[in-house]
Amino acid sequence: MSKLVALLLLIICLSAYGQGEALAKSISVHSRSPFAVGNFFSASAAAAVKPSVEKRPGPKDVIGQQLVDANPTLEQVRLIPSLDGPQRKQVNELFNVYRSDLKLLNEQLRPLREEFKARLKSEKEKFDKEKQDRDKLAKEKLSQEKLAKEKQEQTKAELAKFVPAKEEEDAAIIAVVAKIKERQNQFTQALSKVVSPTQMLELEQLRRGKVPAYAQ
Amino acid sequence: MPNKNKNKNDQQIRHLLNRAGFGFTPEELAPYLEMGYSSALEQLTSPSSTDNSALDHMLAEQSFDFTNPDDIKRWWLFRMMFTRRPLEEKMTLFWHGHFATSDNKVRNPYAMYVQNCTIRKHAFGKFDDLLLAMSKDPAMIEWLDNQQNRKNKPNENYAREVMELFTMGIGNYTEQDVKEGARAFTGWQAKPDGFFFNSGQHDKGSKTFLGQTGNFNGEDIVNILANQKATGHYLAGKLIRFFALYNPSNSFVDEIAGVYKKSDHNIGAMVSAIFASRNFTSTACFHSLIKSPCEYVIGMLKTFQVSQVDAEVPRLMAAMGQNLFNPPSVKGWDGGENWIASDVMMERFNFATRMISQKFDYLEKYSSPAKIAAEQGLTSAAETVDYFLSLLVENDAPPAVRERLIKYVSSDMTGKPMTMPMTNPITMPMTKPLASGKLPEDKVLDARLRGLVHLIMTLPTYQLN
Repeated sequence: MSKLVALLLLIICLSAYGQGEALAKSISVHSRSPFAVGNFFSASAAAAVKPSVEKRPGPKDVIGQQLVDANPTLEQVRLIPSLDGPQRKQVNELFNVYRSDLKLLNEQLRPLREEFKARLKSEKEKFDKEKQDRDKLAKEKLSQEKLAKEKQEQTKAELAKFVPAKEEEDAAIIAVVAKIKERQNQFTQALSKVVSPTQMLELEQLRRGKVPAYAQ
Repeated sequence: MPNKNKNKNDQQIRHLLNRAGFGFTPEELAPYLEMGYSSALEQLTSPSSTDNSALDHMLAEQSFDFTNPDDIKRWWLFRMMFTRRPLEEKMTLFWHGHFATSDNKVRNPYAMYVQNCTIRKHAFGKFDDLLLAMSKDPAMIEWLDNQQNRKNKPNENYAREVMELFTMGIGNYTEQDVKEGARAFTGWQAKPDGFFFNSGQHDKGSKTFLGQTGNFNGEDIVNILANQKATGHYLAGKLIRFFALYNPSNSFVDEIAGVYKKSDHNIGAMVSAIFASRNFTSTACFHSLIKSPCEYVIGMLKTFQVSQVDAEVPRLMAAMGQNLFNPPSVKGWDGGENWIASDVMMERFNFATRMISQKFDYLEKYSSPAKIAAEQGLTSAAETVDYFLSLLVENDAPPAVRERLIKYVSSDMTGKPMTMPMTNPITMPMTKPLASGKLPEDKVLDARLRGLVHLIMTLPTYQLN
């Protein structure tokens, strides 16, 4: 009889232990739920940073940056709701002339930039060739070990010697870029005579996302 | 048993959020889990009841130029990422594919943006209103040549598509209906400030359209079309295929078409009925759709809680086959298996690589599986694999795949199995969790666990929704 009581006690104890273990396991599993707050990838770090959209960077080269046109495009100006018929006609004419002028200036600029790039390339090639020749000569004279040491120092010094010319310092290019900038400014003036500041503001509001009442 | 039910309910809510939105962050998921399935559904399908001012503030800080074709894409992706009304964006995406309009032809990003706002406004309302708004939408008018639809020279393009693609579907109208419908839409033109009814170009004569005769204009045609039985069926089928199942039963389509009729053409009611249906919560529906690039990309960005939307994302999505604001044709995106065709599949894998190698944000180590493993006290390769399988594919992976992943994690960089207790540094955090927040220094572990996450993200089930 006492054996039976002891066996019952053992069963009860084991069962309680089993339940406790199961509970502990379920708590542990729950706390490890990958969907719990803070359990995804670096929630705290992400929350500390304001959501934003990365914009495409503009032109990397200095000339490209200089040539960025702050004037609106014809397609943008056409969006201005209050632009009347005669204004539309004038705007079209202005843009036609402006675009053909810019086309001519850009045609002048393109070969100059290409020539500049080619010149830069050939200067670099010439520099590298001379360096190679010197290395070859030195190789014949010096032992491998000595050569390596010297070469290291020489490379440092010679690299410093080659300073590529800057595109923005090329006189011919500067002249055409200046003409383009001047033409852009002239166009800004001309456009402001046709399109009123209020209308330009209308365009600015559209560009910032103002939608007509029917779409709100 | 209650735990089992809770787990099932939680999984259904995650299933709902994946389908009714674009995935979730833990912070977005928590309140839905708290409120339960039916309340979650109610909140999702009545977006105006959810405060979305935080998104408006965020958007105002981004300085988008809505005349720039790239910016409108970034704007929309940003909305998908950070909205508190996910179904509103998902419905907008659905209608963008339905009323497919491409900026490639329209060449007016601002008009495309306005169309997107118009769709969002009517996305849950009465279908008649949405259809009328689309018929008067400047981008649509340009896209389907209604600007050239004149009294003496009708252009049938819009009249044809409005029946074939937007309402009843092919086989429910005749060529004569197309001609008569086109006459009713003559003079429906666009100006920079919106719709313009050019009375002088409108055909005011009598027309016979789908068996009805009268001096119809475009509004009458919209009314007639929205009231066709075929329209209810067509829309029900399309909504079900987008949100629930590729091959729904006839009875399911009939049921949702019935809701269209009963609710007086209310789209929100139809979508609610789809999500409330047993067809949606059944296991057959789970992981039965293929993620669109939008779902794949935004879902992954949300899982990783990336806070900065990379300028490249729209281009990468286009390479995966979904170029927003530029659907491939008037039919929109075919979707389904086309999303994982061989030419675009590699783009998905590359995106996963880009994500796990942290090229998406300037946050250091924001995606550190090793850190998570340490923080969660994962003490074995099996536990670690299970954790990430659960997070990324809801454990929907065959046992053989799980085994291979465990083998991958518990082998060194040469693929040689490591013995227990492992002396290789890869096991360090497994046996000795690091202090919370402290990044493990070991590069091997880092590479191995990044590899694990990447492998899971390239599994077939990760492509499913």
